[in-house]
Amino acid sequence: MTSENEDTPAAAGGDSVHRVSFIEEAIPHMDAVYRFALRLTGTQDGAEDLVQDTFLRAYRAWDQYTPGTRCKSWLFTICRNVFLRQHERRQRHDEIVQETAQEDAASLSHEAPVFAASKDSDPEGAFFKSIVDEEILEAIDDLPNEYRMAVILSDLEDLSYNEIAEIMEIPVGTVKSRLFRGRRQLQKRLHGYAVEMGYISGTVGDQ
Amino acid sequence: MKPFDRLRKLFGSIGRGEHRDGADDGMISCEEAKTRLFEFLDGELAEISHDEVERHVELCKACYPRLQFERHFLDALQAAEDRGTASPELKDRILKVLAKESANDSF
Repeated sequence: MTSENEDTPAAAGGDSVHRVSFIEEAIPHMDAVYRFALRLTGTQDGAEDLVQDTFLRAYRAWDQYTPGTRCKSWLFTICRNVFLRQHERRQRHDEIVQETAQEDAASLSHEAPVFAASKDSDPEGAFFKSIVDEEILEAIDDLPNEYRMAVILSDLEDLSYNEIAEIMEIPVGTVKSRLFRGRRQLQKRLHGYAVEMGYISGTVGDQ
Repeated sequence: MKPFDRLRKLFGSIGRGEHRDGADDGMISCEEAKTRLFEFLDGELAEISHDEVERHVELCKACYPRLQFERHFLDALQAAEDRGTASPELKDRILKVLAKESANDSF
């Protein structure tokens, strides 16, 4: 499922078939790829450039795509790789990834410090519903790269752990720990915001 | 589960606090349920494991708020992002780039 092969020529002589099948199968996923790119880059211009690069590379590598497999995941893999390559030029892409593959995803699911903190005032977390979308997206954007990708792919794009593992090229156990860790960080930030805005009583940053 | 059974179980659990291992009704413990909670909500558990967690959180007075808490959180995330679409200009631009790419590759 690796996407990188810039030397692959478009199907020689079969251009129209190549193009038609790409347009039929890949182009319909452009909105999803755009949303993913927007969350990765944080700007519309950055996202549009990333989507264009993604589709160009995907088009060049279209011969390597197996028809009938998950085209969206395949495009996301390319998008992630293009993004990381661009991003690495400016800074080391991975600020956080020191955890081992199986790092306690179970305990990350089990422990819920924000739930514990808001248990008395809002036991069912209704405050999450009061938080404006922009604040939620901003909080996602501020997550470290690898947590952010897992959260976007799971919680915004609704992909399975297996699909995310393929896209991020990591074991499923690592998907879980990054996803759960990202979610806990988000909860902490959104809780702090809700306290600040007076949606819920509590102390900001008391975790 | 029939509604009547559910009510009976709910009332039965009031005041009992957390379930412990080997509770009389054969449910998994609160510890186990919480450990699998995210996977449960993500629909990633195998059927038997899913049913065990479902049964536990539906009936356990201590765990039900926790389930709702995580659910409200995940719902908020999903609700935050359902509009972004690629602009028609971007779609046009990309189709043009692809057409140009095809032209370059043709003999």
